[in-house]
Amino acid sequence: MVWWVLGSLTAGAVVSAMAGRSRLGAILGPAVLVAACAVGLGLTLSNAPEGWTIPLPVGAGALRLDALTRWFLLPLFAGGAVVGCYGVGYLHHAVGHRHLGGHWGMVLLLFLGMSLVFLADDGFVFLLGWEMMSISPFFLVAWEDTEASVREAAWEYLVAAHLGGAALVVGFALAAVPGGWSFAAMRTALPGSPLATAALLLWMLGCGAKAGLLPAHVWLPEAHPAAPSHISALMSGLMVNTGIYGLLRGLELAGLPGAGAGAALLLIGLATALYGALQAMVQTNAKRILAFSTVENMGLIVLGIGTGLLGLAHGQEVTAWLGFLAALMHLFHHSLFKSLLFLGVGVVLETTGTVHLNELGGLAQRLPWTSRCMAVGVATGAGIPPFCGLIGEVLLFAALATGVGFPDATARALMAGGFVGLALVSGLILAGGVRLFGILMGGAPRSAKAQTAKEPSWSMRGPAAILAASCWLAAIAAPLVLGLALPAAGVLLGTAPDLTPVVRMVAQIAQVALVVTAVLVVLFLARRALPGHADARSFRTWDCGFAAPTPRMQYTAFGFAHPLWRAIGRITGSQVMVRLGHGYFPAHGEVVVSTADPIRGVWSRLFEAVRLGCDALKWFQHGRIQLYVCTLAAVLLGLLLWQLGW
Amino acid sequence: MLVLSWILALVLAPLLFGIINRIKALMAGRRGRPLLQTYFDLAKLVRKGVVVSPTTSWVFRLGPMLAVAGPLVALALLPYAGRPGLWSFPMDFVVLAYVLALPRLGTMLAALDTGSSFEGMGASREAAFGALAEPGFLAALLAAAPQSGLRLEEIAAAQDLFHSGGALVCLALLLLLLVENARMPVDDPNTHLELTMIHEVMVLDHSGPELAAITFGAALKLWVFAALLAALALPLERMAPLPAFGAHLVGTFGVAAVVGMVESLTARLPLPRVPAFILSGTACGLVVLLMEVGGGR
Amino acid sequence: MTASTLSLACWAIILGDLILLGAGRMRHLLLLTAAQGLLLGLVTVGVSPGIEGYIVAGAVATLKGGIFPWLLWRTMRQVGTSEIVEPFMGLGTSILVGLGGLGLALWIDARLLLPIAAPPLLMPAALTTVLAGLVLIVLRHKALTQVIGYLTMENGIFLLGTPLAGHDAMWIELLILLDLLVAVFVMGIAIHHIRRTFDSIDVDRFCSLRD
Repeated sequence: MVWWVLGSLTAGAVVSAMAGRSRLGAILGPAVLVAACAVGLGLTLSNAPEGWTIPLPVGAGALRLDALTRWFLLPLFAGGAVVGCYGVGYLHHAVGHRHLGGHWGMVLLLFLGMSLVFLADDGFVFLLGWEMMSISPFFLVAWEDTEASVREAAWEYLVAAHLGGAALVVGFALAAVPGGWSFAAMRTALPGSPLATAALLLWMLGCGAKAGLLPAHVWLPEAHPAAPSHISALMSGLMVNTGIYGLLRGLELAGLPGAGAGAALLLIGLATALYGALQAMVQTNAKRILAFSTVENMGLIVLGIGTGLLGLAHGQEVTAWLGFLAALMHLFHHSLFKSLLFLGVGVVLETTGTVHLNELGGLAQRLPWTSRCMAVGVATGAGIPPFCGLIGEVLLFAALATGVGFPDATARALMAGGFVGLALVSGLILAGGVRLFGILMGGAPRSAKAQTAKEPSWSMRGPAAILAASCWLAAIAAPLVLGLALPAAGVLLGTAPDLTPVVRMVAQIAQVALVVTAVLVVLFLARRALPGHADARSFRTWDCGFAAPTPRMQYTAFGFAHPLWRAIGRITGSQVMVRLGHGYFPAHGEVVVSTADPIRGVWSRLFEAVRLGCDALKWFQHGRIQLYVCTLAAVLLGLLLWQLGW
Repeated sequence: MLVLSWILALVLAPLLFGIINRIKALMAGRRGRPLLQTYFDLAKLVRKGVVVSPTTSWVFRLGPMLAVAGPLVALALLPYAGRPGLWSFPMDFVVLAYVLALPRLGTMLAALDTGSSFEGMGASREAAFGALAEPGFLAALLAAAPQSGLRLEEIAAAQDLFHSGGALVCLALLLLLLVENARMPVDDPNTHLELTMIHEVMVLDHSGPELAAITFGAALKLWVFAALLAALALPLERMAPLPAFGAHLVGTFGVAAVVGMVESLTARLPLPRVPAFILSGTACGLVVLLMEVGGGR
Repeated sequence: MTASTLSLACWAIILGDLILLGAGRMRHLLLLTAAQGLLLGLVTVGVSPGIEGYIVAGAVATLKGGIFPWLLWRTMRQVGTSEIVEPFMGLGTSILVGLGGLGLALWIDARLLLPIAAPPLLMPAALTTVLAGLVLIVLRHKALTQVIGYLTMENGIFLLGTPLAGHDAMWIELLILLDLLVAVFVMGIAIHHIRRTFDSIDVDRFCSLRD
């Protein structure tokens, strides 16, 4: 089956790219994607054999399907099929005049790359997949290539992806020194070798950049929002998972490291989560908010991994399992709700032409279907029952809470700090989610664009609805989902200790979710029996005696965040400038809000320094072919002499 | 017994507002409104019709349901009289916090759905203060948890008012109760100026049974907090079932009385000072947590 | 004096430090300082029993719990400064720094090996008090608050010293107290003069005195 998946993705990519602007190009790609994802889903859930080899020009590459791979393939294929359907609707107006075949070809290449990354059983196949996955989004992000900002975001993505990729290449080259490129060899030879630490550090760097961990997150809030919405959903919901996967696989290959690495990951994760949540709280572009929310969720996942490592280092198996399970479960839930939210915002973009919160509003009335799905996504992200986000967050809280009883004082302090920090993050997510949904969907339209919003075709509404339903189902069926995550964590941690309390806890939370649902249904029915349900009178919003409210008087996106910004949000680098008119009756005043990411500034200074360094080398780029050839020959000659043992 | 405790909660929750108001009136030398006034209000509201703004959508109608559903489910997680609630599992205190976020989510979204600038203002403040109060609530309960267990039932059993740590945890929960339930000095439930409100301004547009639902939800939420605080503060688990039941009930009303006294004695804080107030509540929990982390359990 | 009373006193000192950092009124600051002085006396009795202990405790409680706060209160009234504590970066930051200080104190306590067995919580309480005094000095505008900060720091140092000092050290402690009395007098008078000369006791303006 694995050949069907990889083969159809490869062939589909080639044929689709050749189909070009024809109608075939618009249909073939998504059809192949959905078919391949369906087969892939079957493969993931079946008891398929575990290992394969693929003939490559440089020797045989190995593929393997273990429980960890299955866990990551599950959201990939499930999400891929849904996003594929959505993309057809999203791009329907481009049929005939844009190169849709090429676009879908690149999507298929992206999926091929991601599948290879997850399935790889040697470093070479992994890097091959990683490169495919890194290059194709460049073309996908640059879809709206007439806009300068989009082109810039695409370039930024490419640079970040390649710097991360370079770190991975060097990491694997180092890891291959003791035993060889195959993962099996690395597993036996790498742990304990002095190269393991160096390789692991480089992997963390490369994978951290892909997942958007602080401080390498700066490209993510630029690139993910610039892409067309279904691609944003792919990148933010599914592609970031490869970063986490690479990190976990690296940990497995190099042997799980000790308390230092655990503490580092815990702190990086916590800082990323807090920073992402605060940025998501102050940004005003809906897609950027979602991108920062991705940063924050990746932080939570890494926080879980760090907690798990710390637990392992101190011999507390239950904490270790809780940490890794929390990371895996939250990753799955994040894939669901982040794809959902990007699809929802995609609908808003498609129907209104903007994603700036201050130009939107009143969409809950105009987009009843999409707004309901978005509400589910926001609630899931905030861990509100009865949706699945709660499960991962409670597991994470549980891991940290058990850590407060450790014998080691430093570990205790880290765990307690993580717990309190996580609580702050969870409070911020709720505030940010309410802000996103409330400003976007609630109230009156803030511009003419939002006034005329209409629900799109079913191909765009359906996928969002499926994901929203999954968010609920994953909570109700949480014990089943946990049953799949247990062997995945087992790949890293070996045999499990007695986890019945954990399993029972998850089952109980699922019950709570079910009861919340039931209570809501009962209340809904009871409401129909009370007066004022259907015969409610309609009268304009009460505005405290002021009889002429206008939509412009509503709270703005930043206005909503202002109390939190003033209390703890200044670290985000956002600034407010208020310019008021003069005189007794000032006619004009304005408030300018700038939301810049201060960490970007650090990077741009660094890159500027690199550019200056490179400029200094330009004297060598003189353009005289004779001298180039001469230099080449001199270097070759020198190498020859050196080899011959001068 | 468990079912009886729920029935009592549902029946007696609105009485808490009556007690708070009566204490305030007594402290101010007034007679005060009837103890059962909230019941009369609820009975009146349920029979009334509803006015809905044309700006609003399904979100506005959903808000009141969430406002009731959250505290209703929270009741089932709450230990009563030194015994576990319907659910009792490790980390149930975190689930309790998330379930209690439902009413906040519902009222904030409904407020933003009306498009009113005042209600947006209320939602914005509620969002900020709720987010800042979350770490305090969870840290206080984690600090209160004994090494052996992370269930609410075990937390309540391990703490009582007469130990230094327990007293601080109870103080933290009391301060956060004031924040979460929109009481003085964070919010003034009796104010008449929309600009200064938080909770009241968010529900300006609700009417009829929906306003009744929100009021009842707020009463239930206060009950949940008060009952939790009473369970922590009193050594109920060491009493026989029936006295424990009575003590828990009296304790819950006692918390309401304390809230009434706080409201009589303090003035409302200026809004920019509220985060520092929340922080002081959080700090009480954090001190206990720090002591445990530093000293080893 | 039982061990539990002693640990309760230490708890109270730690909490007092945090409230000191969060207090917004000068009056509360002075009251808290006075309370801390009395607690210090209590702890002294607990740590070093016997007649010397009572003498030192009595002196500490009288001076730190009564005379110093009264002197400062008098200065405050004479200078006519406002009631409001003027913090840098908000009172919330001070509380957070104080919590961090408590964490640091616990951490140091776990690693510091004292030559003699000090009662538990005494060292964290002492270190937290020193750090709280430091915060009061660094993060406040008014000179008067800084005097309170110095006093608090000294309280912490005194607490650190109590278990270490033998019985013979009583005279040293009493002498230090006397020095402190003079210091507070001098500072009070200095503030009074500064106020008369510059019309402000904001320490940020003191930099104009550097020449």
